[in-house]
Amino acid sequence: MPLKWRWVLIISVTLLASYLCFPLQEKIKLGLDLKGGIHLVMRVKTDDAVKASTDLDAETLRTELVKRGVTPQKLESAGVGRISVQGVDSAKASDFRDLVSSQFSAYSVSSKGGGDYELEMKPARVREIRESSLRQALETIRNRVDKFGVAEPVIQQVGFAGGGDERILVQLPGIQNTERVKELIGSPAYLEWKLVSIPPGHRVEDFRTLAPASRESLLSLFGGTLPADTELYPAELQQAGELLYWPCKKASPITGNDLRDARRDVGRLGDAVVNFRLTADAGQRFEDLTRANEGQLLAILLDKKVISAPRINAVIRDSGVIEGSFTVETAEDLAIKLRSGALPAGMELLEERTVGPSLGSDSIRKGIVASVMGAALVVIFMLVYYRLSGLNAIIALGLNILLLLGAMGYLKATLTLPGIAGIALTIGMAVDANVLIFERIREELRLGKTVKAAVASGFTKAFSTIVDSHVTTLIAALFLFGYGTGPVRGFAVTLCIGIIANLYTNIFVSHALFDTYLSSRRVDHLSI
Amino acid sequence: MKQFHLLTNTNLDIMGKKLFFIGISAVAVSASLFALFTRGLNWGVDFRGGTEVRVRFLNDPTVEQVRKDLEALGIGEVDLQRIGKPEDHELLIRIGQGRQTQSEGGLIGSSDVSQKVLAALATPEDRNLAAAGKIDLNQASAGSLEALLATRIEAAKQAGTLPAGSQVEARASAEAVIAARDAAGGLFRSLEEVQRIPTLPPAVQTILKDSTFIGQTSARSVEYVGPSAGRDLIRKATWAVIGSNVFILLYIWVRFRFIWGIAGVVALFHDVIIAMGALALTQKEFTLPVVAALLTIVGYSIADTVVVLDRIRENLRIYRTQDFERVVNASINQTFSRTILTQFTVMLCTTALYLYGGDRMDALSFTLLVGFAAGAYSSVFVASPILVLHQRWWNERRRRKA
Repeated sequence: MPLKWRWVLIISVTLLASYLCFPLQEKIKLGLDLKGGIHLVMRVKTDDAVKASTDLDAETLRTELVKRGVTPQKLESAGVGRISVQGVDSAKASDFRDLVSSQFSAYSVSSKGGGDYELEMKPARVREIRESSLRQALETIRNRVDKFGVAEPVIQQVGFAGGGDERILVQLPGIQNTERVKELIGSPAYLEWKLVSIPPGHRVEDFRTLAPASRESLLSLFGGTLPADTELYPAELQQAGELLYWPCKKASPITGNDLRDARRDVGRLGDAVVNFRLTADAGQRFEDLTRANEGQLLAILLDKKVISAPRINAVIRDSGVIEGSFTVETAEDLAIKLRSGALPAGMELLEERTVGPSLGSDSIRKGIVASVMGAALVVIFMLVYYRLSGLNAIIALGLNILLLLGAMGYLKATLTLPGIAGIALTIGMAVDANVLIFERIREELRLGKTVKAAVASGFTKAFSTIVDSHVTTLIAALFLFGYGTGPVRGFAVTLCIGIIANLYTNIFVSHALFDTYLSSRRVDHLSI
Repeated sequence: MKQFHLLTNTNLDIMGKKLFFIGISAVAVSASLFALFTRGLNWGVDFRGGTEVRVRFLNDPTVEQVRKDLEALGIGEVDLQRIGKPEDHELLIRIGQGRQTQSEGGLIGSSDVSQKVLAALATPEDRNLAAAGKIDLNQASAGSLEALLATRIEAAKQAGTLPAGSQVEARASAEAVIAARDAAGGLFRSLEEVQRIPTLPPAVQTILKDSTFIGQTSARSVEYVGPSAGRDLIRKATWAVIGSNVFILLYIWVRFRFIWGIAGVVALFHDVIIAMGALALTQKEFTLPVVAALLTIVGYSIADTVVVLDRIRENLRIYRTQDFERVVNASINQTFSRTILTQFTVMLCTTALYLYGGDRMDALSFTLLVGFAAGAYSSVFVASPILVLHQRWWNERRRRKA
């Protein structure tokens, strides 16, 4: 390629890289470890969702069987994706099989002999449930974070879905209140209204002074056994670390799914409450419920815990308040969660990293100092050792870093703390190829070649060495990219781009600089 | 102008002393393995699981006292380490995995440990102030500070101490306070420092004076890793090192010869083992960035070996009749200066990183430094002697067959 065109290319690439990376503050994205914020990795316990679906199917199966006159001795959901049916009358065995194969085709049946069967959910269906609950969880968390108001949040799936190890990554820059955030995005927020069961012989008013109470005292109030439709639910408020309970009906006539809106509000006593509005359909049900049970207690449960159990004083249609021991923040967060919908499954926290902004900016400052020091040392060394040719290497080095930053800006790559180390390392490695070429040129000069011939053959002969050594380095850097997440990946990115940019600056730019220098004058002695 | 030379035209008889050089490597590798098996690596939170809290103290903490305070919590094994510059008063507090705790919100495995740690480190005076409803400016988040200011501003307007129409922004003031705290390194030293923030209205200053205090500690970072993550990461790291070695081997096989690839990979394992041995010896924390450093050593150290191999191949073409050992020796001497020079420039940058990069880069840059040094040695003194030894064995075998 003629020298003129080479320069056109070099200048265009340089301008493009400058355009892509300046101003640095805008174009180069900083990782959470540098700008501060919260990084969470959570596992969605999709087993929960599969189990819930199995429970539901077991119930349906029971009703359907009863309709057909099949009454097994025992029918229960036996863990994740399994329903065990015991003691099916042998005369009804074909009815049972027919029903399962027609209406429960998501299960495969195996006979255990003696009228016992086991239904197992097919893998395809299990995967479908896991994937859909992951999608729903992502959607819900995204909703909650949006309503919480965070700039540039990252909420995404990591790894593979469908295998029971569904993971979600959440990154919230600039947020430090970890406990609040974890509570906000990690809690299922499943809301239910349940009528409180009043023990026989007690009036509502008396009972209100007794409950919530310990398990034992409640059982004794009910005469030893709870009614079939009643269960004990823990109260959110504990007394001296002791769990207290409310006896509530198992059925939940209204749940969080029936909400149309929820807002934080100020209650009658100036306390924080959450205001809710129901959908039209649920409003009708709520009206019926409250009319039929005026004067009774209606418990409000969040994630199976009773947060309050007010008395129904009047018929309520489609709106009301939730009282509880809220602060302004917890009421606000509950309203956000209720508006965003419940999570389909519990979450397990796998990783949490919180970096304060002061630590991040410390690290940036130190990283820059170290990189500049390293660069200065390299520059001095190259000038001392290779004189004027060292200047050539330094121009190539500067361009190398510019290209690295430009590529990072273009790829929207994130600069992390190890990434800064990657840049410092790139500075050190950038002159490697220069050293290889310069040493080769010196060798050729020693053989008595003219300057022009020595430079030409120096570049030619060093070429394959440089390519080989860069490719092997790149192989390791690519594995590093595949291995790492977050900060480590940031390191791999700077390293990979640095290596590729280095090939261009050393073989192409450095060569053009030499050729330009040699073409314009007669050079007898090369300063190298 | 004369050229500046260093180690050019060397004529060292490296091959003649190859057993000596391999012996040195064997000793270094054995010592590293010994250190790895006896002392073991100081696994960081990424691999071990647990919680790591980096706390900055207002006054220089006594490690023994902090340990006593934390062990009283019963949250499991506590490990303390001073970090950063002495005047920073910083401790890295590491707490083992301990029991699984279920937090209020139902996020299983959640570590509210960091909160407990900070609470345990508070002085009795601070605890009294907090019990009296005051909030700690060194730990408050922008949100909680804003909530406090909003209620107090409202109350002041109700009480008439603040004109009802006056514009006092709770959010802007809270953010100004937090920004000033970040600028001060995450920790206010006194309330006067807060009073000096120019943008705060007098009304807010009064509220801050009455309802906040300057606590003893601030968490600069918190990391929690669940128990299952570690094993996964070690497995992936091992595969990444093995995988990159296999591909490097394949590449060298294609470009050169199979046995040369073996020699290169042996040199790589040599470098990685020595770097890990140094980590075991110094007990520097083995973290994710350290794994990144190990893979970088793999990538960079092979580049130097390739330079030597390249020259051996070139010389073999020129001097077909020469003895293999002499060709290798000559090639090493011809490339000796560039091996030293390229390593030297990288070491300049790595040393700068080690000295000035701060403690968060300490383990990373230390690993690189040791690994690069081992890499420079192994390119010359390990990989090439293996080639020669192999060639000699090969010739021997051929002669015996004939």
